[in-house]
Amino acid sequence: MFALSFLFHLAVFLIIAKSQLLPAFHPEETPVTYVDMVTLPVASPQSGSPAPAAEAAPTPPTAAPPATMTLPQSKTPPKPQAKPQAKAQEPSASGAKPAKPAAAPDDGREFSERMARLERLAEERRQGEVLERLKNKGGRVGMPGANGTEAGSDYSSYLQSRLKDAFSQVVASQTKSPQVIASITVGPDGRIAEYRVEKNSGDPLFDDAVARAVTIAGRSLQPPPGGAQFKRVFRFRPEGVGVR
Amino acid sequence: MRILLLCMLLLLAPEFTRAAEEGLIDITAPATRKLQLAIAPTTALSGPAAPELGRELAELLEFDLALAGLFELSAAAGDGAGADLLVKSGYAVDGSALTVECRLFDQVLNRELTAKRYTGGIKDLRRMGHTFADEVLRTLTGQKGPFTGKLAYVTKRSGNKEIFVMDYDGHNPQRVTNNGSINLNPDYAPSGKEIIYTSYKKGNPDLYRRELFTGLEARISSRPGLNAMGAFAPDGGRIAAVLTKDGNSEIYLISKEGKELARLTNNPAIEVSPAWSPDGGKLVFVSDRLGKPQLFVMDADGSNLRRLTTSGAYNVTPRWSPRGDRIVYARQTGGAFQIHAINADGSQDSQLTSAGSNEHPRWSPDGRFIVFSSTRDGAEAIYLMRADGSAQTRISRSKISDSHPTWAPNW
Repeated sequence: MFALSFLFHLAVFLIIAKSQLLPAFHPEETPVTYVDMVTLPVASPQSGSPAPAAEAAPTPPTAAPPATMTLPQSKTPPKPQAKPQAKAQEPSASGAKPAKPAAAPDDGREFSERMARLERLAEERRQGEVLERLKNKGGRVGMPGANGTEAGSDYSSYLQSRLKDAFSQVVASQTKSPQVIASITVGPDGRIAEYRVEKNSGDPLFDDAVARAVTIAGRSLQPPPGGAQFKRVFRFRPEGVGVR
Repeated sequence: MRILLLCMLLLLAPEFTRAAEEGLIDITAPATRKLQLAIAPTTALSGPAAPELGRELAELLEFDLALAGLFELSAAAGDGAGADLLVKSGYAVDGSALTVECRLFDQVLNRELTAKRYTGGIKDLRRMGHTFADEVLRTLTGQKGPFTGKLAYVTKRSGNKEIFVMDYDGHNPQRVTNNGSINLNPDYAPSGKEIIYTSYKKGNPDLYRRELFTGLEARISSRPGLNAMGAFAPDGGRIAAVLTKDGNSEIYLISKEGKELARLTNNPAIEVSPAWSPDGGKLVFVSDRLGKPQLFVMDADGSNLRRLTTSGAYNVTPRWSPRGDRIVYARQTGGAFQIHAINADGSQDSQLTSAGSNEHPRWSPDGRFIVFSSTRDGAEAIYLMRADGSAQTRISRSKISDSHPTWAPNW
């Protein structure tokens, strides 16, 4: 009885929700689109920064350097202050001792130049350490933290790109809005292992054009990464058709 | 309980479908293109070489397939390199006997799509070629081409208006009537083996039915006044025709033997040019009941009348497309007629011709083409074009007036 009541109330809720009688109970989410503006889809999209294996070995993160340094603003000869100098010297790789207070406290220009040099050195070191940490951390394909040898995005995008190029060469149709849904399996050798039409368009001209596109794309595919088969389902259509 | 569960599943089904579709990777192309088709030179398979036959066959295939609008013909390289499709053909002559072999290859998929061998006389060469062109379209699009269909038309080549038939491309004209009178408005039966037409050979414009292969003829309507513009129903057993036996031009339904079945219009206005929808459920016709000739549509029993065209002052000779979606007709504009096509619901009226005066449009049996008569080159001649108005091509080979073409159905 309880189950029946539960199902009944659930059904009523779904009907109301489907009819959009209730206000939206979750905010509309703007879809996030990643656009790779620099690298093209490639077959082995492992990294953006080729590096020898030895360099790729993880290293422990180092302490973060000081975030900022303040420079003396006054033109009057400042009092030597050890604290900023000590901060600037601390991350030095040479292990230099903290600088002594300036020998000529009345020479403000020399002091400013020295402080600026120290600040520049500290900033360069900080950026280098951040980059090193990202490299060692490992991350999304195509990002600096990845470990492969070729820049690019993932294999799906690579295959999509190759199919799109081939499809543009051979697309033909005699109907207004044809669509073909097909699963494509790429074997470990980079050849099309299986092409199966899940749903044809009813337009033989378009169906054959899709088959030709798959054949053309399959002539020059790189093998999937990891030596495994790669299978995805694709929807072929002229631009602007079937978009909701 | 089960009903409740079913309702829930039905409510959730679209969500599942959408979720499944969101997992698809889209492959799009900016626009469709024509298939690259190469036609290899025809070769002799055996026996004596007859280069003129090979040339004629290759030119015929080229003409048919270029007209189809699906292909861009590329240079006729023997191996069809760079083309999507390749047509190869060969012939063998043995006395007056001829064998023709034709093959269609998909160069990308690397497979033979179709292969046909035709045997007959040398005089059958063109028919063999058109038959293979039809087969190419059937293989690639699922719908047979119209190229083997003949055109019936009215010509004054013998000095009078007589009915002839010819190949769709203007070859092989053959006389059908030879009565020295006026013969008009031929229309094919769905079988393609009979025509009906109006003839004045006995003084009155009467309706005749003629078997094309036996020459047998019957006068099926000789009622007082006009017996004209007969149009076979898709079932082949009924004919819609214009009769003026009651003093006014009205549309009647008669049997193919001439028996009156029904009067479909009853109005003081002039009603002419009936044409059937492909399912036989409706008729489009011309009436000036609102002052000017306009197109109207009614059910096949005369009910549910509605006006189709709302623009143009003089719209005549409608024909319903075999696909049922469009109606082609002639509209008088500035003293000349132009061919228009309009959706069967009255939307999307578009002008298809602009040069000369163009009349009597008829569809090809597959709906890909429209054949019509035009004065654009002087004397009235027969032309054809694709359904969208492109590739307007002269078919008439004589310089004498040819008009009233109609395309035989596939059979």
